[in-house]
Amino acid sequence: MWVDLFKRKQTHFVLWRVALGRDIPCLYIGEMGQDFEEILLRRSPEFPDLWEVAALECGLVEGRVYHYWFKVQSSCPYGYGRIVYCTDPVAYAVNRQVLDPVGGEPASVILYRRGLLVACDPQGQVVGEVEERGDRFLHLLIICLLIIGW
Amino acid sequence: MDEGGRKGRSGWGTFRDVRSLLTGSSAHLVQLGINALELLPPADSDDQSEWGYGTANFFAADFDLGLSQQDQEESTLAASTDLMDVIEDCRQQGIRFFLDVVMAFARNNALRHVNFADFLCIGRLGDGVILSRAIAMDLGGICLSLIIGWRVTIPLPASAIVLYRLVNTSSFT
Repeated sequence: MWVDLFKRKQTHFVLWRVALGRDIPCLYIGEMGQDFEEILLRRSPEFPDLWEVAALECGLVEGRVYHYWFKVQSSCPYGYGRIVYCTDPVAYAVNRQVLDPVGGEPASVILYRRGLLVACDPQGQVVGEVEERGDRFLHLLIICLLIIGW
Repeated sequence: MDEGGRKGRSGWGTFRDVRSLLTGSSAHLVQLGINALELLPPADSDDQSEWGYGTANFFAADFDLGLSQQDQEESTLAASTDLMDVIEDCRQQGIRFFLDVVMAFARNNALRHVNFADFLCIGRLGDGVILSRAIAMDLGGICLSLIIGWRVTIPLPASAIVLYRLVNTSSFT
């Protein structure tokens, strides 16, 4: 059975393969300008490697943009065992103007809408979808490799 | 929480700057006659004004490249939507968009905290080197490995466009 992490991520905050320390990992979440709260993650009964909490259980408000981190005990040899707030490893958007309380990790960003966690930018712009389109076969491909941040 | 203090500016190669090369009177990329566009890695990185290597967040568009300042006070934070607009502009112009993902130079990825042993390994240390991380993906999941390498900073030209002409690229469909 597959976890299907990215489908599950639509309804849950998920953290995969946590190296367990003394403390249970938790979600640290809130809206800008308001208090943040810690919500404990639970080990999935179906997938022991997966820690999660349903968005429905987090008291989120419809249409609001949330910033969040996962609070874990670091397994990094450079600072092993210290408590850190880490960006969601599979975050769809981050906000580098909002850093965590202790270490300087950027916030992960998500929009709560109709019971789902929706990818969005920090100011709430929802990312649209590009329609799949069958491109014609090209015998000659002229690629421009463009440096960004020039 | 701490305010990161990053300020927006334009004209240095943001996603919106790329869009300006695809549409309107300054659609120079279209005028060149290209039919494919590959940006250097557009995923989020700690670095500013670099080439896009040293990715920290592989599933997020680069924060700084979506940061533009509207006036003295307010910035627009729109990396994801701006990148998608670039892709949509390409499609409108009949230009294919190639995504460049470089996992060999990841840096400050959150998995170093979540589970270092599972995703990373330590290479050699020495004077004058800093950490860089090589990440490899296989069909069964994600495997990250950590290596130590020389950091090379190459000065950027004001605008660098490299054209590749590939003939008989039958593998691209």
